[in-house]
Amino acid sequence: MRCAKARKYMLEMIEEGLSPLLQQRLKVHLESCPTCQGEYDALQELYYTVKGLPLPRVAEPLGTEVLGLVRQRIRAEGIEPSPSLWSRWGWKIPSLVRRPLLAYTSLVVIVGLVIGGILFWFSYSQGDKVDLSDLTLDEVEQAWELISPEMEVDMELIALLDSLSPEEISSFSDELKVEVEPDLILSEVPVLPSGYLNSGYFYYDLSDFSPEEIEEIIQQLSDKGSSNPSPQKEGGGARLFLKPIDEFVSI
Amino acid sequence: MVSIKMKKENVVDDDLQLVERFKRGDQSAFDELVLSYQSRIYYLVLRIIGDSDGAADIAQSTFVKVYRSLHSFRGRSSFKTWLYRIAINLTKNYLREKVKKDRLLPLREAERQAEGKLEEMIAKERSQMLRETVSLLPERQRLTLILRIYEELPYKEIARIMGGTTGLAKVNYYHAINNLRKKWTKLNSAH
Repeated sequence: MRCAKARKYMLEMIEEGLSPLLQQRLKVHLESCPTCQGEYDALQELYYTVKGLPLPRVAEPLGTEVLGLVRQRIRAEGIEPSPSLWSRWGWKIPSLVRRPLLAYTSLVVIVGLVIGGILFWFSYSQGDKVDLSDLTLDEVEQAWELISPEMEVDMELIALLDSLSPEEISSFSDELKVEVEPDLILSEVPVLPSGYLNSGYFYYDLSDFSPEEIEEIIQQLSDKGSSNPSPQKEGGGARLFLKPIDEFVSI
Repeated sequence: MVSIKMKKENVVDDDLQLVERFKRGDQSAFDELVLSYQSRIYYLVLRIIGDSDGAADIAQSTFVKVYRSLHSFRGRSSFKTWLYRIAINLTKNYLREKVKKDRLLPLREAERQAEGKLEEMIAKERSQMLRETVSLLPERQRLTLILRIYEELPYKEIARIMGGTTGLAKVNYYHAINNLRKKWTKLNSAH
């Protein structure tokens, strides 16, 4: 495991959210890297200091006064529970049944609105793709991390990405992990040959994984329906052929 | 592990039963809900705003709002998540109002307070300074950090409470920790 990857796992390790496989790999790395061990110790100290921070001092401990005050306020302000939508409108249904023409017209209008809404949403969602042509290869890689298969493709994140400078994107996505499966995290910088941007394929550097782990990743990607996940040999390292980018960036 | 999970499920079931009883007109069910959550809501808010009177006010308002809207609760999320969302939204409003009020302070007064605050901070213990550092985090990061570290909520639930995705909750949390880490390192080197 490399230092950059080790740093990404540290917090999860402290929160005991890391899988046994990654825990083991991180432990091995920490034993051999004093810098990372130092960072890990500092982070752990910080985490537990924050967790152990006492609550601000209060004059009197809380008893049951909240309930008393809530009841008092409800009475004083004459607050009533708002009826649910059903109790507000549900009683009108029998009268609609007695007026079939009104009921029929309402139904047609409602169905029309629903179908119109679905068609609008469909055309909107089909037509909207994220244009990555202005981004550098590094930024495309960051974008790829942001819209990874594990996370939902999210307009908020894309919009955020769009509004950030390359430096901000870099610091933003440094905190993210691309999880393929809980046990395996592909967060290495993918090698992206320029020719492959147009063809829409990514290569992921897997040189840090053992052959068994690569097999496992391939199996998991195959299970997820990734097209043609096969290991490639290029430039001395094993790489993984992933899905066309279009399939991931379409919203 | 199994027993913890079962306990959690029981709590969720109990809450839903109380909600149903309230919907059928049983007022005592509401009292039970308030009694079982009042401390958690109060201390959650207290941790965020650091002011006991404000925390008590927000806790009250939260339950008044719950009382008013409980009939609309459909059970799509757990009652606890719904309750936390109301409390967090009211807390955010409170903080915004507070910022507005603070802006209206005369400039000299504000400067004097800021200077005083700085001197106070230097004199305080490291953990107190860390608490101040947490309070200076951007709102979203601070709330996410508190929900994650003190309430021990999973990212998915934090996302439901705060609005946004699980990924965004994760990002906010990592940023909060990262910001704290940088400031903590500075504090340590200064001492």
